[in-house]
Amino acid sequence: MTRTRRLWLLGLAVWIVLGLMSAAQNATWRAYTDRPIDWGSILPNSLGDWLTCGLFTPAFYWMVRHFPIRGERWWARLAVHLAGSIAFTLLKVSIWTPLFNAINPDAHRTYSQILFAGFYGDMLAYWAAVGVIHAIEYYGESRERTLEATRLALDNLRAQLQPHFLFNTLQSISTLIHRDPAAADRMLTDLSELLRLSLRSPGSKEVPLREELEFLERYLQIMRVRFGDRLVIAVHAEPNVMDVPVPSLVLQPIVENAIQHGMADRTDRGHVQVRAARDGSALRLEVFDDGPGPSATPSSNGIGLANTRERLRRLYGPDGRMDILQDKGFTVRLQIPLRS
Amino acid sequence: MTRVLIVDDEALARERLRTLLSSELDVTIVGECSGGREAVTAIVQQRPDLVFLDIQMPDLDGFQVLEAVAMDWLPAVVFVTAYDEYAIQAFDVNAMDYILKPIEPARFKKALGRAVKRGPLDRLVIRAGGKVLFVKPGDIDWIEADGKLAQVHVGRETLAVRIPLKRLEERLEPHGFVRVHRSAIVNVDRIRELEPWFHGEYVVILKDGTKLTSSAAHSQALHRIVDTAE
Repeated sequence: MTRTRRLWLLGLAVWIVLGLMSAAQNATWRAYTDRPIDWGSILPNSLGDWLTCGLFTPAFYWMVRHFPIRGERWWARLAVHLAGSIAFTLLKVSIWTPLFNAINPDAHRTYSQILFAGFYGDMLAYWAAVGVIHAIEYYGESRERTLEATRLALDNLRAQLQPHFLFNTLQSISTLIHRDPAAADRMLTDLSELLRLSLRSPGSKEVPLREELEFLERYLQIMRVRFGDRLVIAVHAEPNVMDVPVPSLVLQPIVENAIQHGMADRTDRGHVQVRAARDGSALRLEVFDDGPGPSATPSSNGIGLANTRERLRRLYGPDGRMDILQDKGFTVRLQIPLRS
Repeated sequence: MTRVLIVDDEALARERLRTLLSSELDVTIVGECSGGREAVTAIVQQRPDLVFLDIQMPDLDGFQVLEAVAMDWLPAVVFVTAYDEYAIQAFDVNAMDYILKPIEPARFKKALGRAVKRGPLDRLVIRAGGKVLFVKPGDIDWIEADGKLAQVHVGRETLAVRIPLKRLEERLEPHGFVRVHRSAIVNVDRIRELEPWFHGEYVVILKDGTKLTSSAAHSQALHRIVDTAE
């Protein structure tokens, strides 16, 4: 609401300044032609003229909102504004004529006299106002877009790296700093790299499997330090699939789930395996854990997996698949088509 | 000497707490646990004065640990959590303190000092409507059995807990609670009057107007109260 009020006040100020400038112009001309400068007459005439235009500000806004001059068929909307500017001029003069005659009791001007004396000036006022409003709207939208992009990047970060992961990792680093500075240093570098990659713009971008596995390795390195012997993680990837493009950051959330499952409800060691292999004309990615499966922790990860399935479908259509297999553990299997 | 237990599923997090505690003179660490179940056993057996308790753990979370031990022994608790949202929403901050990871030494010292001063907590831990409540026994008016649940009446609120009435009775007896009926125990403090009924039974009228009929089998305890009152 305050932004709207600011805009209205700004609008009023602009019209007053225009009125004052026009008064100054009038006075200068009179001085140049050696005529007396009667401010008592000049000011109300100039201000009155411009403020009458100002009365139409809401109408200008309405016109810009409904007929913005841009995008497809912008020229059709330009025509609407042409009609608008003429309508504005006619209406404005019909308001201004009685006001003018009230301010200048001896003048006795008619509607047509005033119309023809100021027609192009009023038309110009219309176009200037519409131009400025376009600029304001553009500015607001671009700010909104920047904010939206930042929000998306942060959402992406939060989806990839849970706050719990982040702060627990920092806690581990703060422990290691005292005992093993080199290990703390490595962990900090791994975390920084994860953050950097997660903050990259989101979307359906693909990266070679090799890069995806490098990212995953950073993440796993941190998890190995944090959970020590309680977690055994192995990654097997066939060399001939390393260059296959895969959706960026697709593996890490699934592995995170697997680690949570694999370690849930047990005090012995949890195992997680990541496998990448060629299967006919597709790349098969599997993430296996030997935990009790998702039934043990029902609420937490359904959404993450549903998002992955949706992403594969959008990228690859029916050739992109995600299956969940449950047999002595829990496997998430992704199928990604190979493209030449 | 304050006897402290450390509970966190990550070894490095436990190490951090150990290091911070090692410079404290009046503190001795009686154990470390890497999971919720282990913590329940350790708390019940060791009866520590203070527990540093992680909230997110793979088997039982921190609140479940407290729920499980509260009937036996509820030490002073400082929650140690990675992410504040969960912690702050879920519990009554007056009863428990929390510190965030990574741990800031000054904040840690403050929480430790407060918890030592407070000492073990004589509270029941009750989960209700997504919140974890730490209820003082003295705030409870009366409790009725309701199938497998017990309905705990605290002022205007009624909280359901999954604890047998028998256990609640044992736990609350030292706080002046008495069984009046097969399925009700009452805070003696809340009794306004006893109306003698038939066969040595009474109608127990509480200060809030609730009327409960004592059963003959449980009237003896009430006899004693009436006698001491007279």
